[in-house]
Amino acid sequence: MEQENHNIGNRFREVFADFEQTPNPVVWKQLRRNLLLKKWLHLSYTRFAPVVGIALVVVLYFQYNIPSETQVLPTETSQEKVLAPQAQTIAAVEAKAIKDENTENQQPASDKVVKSPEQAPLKKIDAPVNQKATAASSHETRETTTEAQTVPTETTISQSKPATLATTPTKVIEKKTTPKASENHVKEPTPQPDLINPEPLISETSIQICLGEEVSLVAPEGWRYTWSTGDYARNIAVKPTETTTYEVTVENSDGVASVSRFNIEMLDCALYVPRAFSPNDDGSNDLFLVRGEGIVQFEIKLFSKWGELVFETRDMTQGWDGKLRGNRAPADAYIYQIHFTDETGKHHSAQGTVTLIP
Amino acid sequence: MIHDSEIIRGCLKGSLKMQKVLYERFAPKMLGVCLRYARDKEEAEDMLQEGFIKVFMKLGEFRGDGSFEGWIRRIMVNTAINYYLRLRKHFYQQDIKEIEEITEDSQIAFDQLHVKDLLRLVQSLPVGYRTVFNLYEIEGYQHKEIAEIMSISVSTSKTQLLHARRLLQKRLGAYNLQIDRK
Repeated sequence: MEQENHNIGNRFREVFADFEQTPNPVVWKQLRRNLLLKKWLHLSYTRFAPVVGIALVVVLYFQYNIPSETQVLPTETSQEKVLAPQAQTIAAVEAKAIKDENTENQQPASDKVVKSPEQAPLKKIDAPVNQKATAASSHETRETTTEAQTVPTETTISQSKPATLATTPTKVIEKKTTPKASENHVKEPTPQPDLINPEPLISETSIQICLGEEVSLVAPEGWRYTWSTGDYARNIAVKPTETTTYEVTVENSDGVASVSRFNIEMLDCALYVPRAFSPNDDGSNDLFLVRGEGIVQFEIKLFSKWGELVFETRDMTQGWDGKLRGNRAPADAYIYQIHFTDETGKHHSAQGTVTLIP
Repeated sequence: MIHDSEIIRGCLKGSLKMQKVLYERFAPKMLGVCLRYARDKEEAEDMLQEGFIKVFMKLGEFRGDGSFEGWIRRIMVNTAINYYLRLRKHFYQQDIKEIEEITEDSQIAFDQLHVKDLLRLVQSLPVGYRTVFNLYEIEGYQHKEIAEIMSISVSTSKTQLLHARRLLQKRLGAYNLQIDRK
């Protein structure tokens, strides 16, 4: 009797899993009226958020730099603060324009910084905050600009990674690094000291990826780009299968060349996630099991499309048998989230769907 | 097909167009959820509207670490439960009387039952049974969680589920049981 009672629940669950019904159009009309009433709140939020975000970034930025910078900077900070309240009254588009200006302002400013150790903590803070601002305002995929003036390059990577990981939680993790191969030689007081540099500068960046990952390489800004791969674009996407070094020669408008080198180090941390499995006890693909090599820490979570957690483990040898509370889960697509750490201690994540075939 | 994240961004900017896209994408499914918690379509549409307002207001809180649809669904379920809690004061007593009459209802063959029939069956349950049944069987909540959100005891939750199942079973009839046994 009790068993049959349970079956009733299953029966209803199956039937209602994909049940939908189109609501009366009146519902939307009423909803829209309610939303319009509350729209001013939304608007003020969206106008306010990017401005506050930018102001915060600027303040944090200059706070870190004040010890090593001249007195010119504090006045700039106050300018930003003045800008912020003004922008609230301007339309959202204009707020965006101000933001663009700010990002442009930041780049030359960071060129002046010569001491690299101080850059490291700064960038870390920079990236997540910026992200908040962009996520709230518009979908400009901003490149995380990292400085590489023949600086210890390993740290550069670890900074750019958390930012990009968060934006693209897919298996293909993009990394964008823009080494700024410019250094200020203030011996000759000229308006553009960057262009006077006679020696081709070499900057080096190391990037570690897992097999199968694609990396986007971005050359420093210039006039003409010549990649060792034969490409001529500023950014190229590469998917090496072994540790490879890429070089790009960048010429500026005066014909001065600089060379940037990208060392792509291949890690043995490939992860294989099956796209489907069939838990019908026929001996083949009865478990949803993730395989991988060179993985130190591992965690997987599997959700139904309702967001219900159906399976979770930290043990890679454990797979899901397609059962939910002792019953067979319905045939459907399930969403997995995987977080793992490779042998070098780097964190990766992957997300996707797996289909349960009965 | 516009990606969910794009819709969310648009809505956060206050774009009415994107709000409509979001609504149109999820409203039919969510009405399917609300209908199970409601007595009729009118009540369900009330819940739906209330739920969607919450979705739009709380959109900034969606962290994107789970399924967006799942997140909306949880809001809908919570809205439905609040609806129930508001009603409880007025209808709880009535529900208990109702049970006595229902138990003698005619049997319905399963093969004649479609989603809408099953829905009517669920909707005909007393509101307390209905909510617990939905939460436990369809949404997959545990008794402990149900007890918390409905401010009832765990044993009440269990009893209500049992009653709900028995009632449904009685109404589904013997024929249905044979199918289930297979």
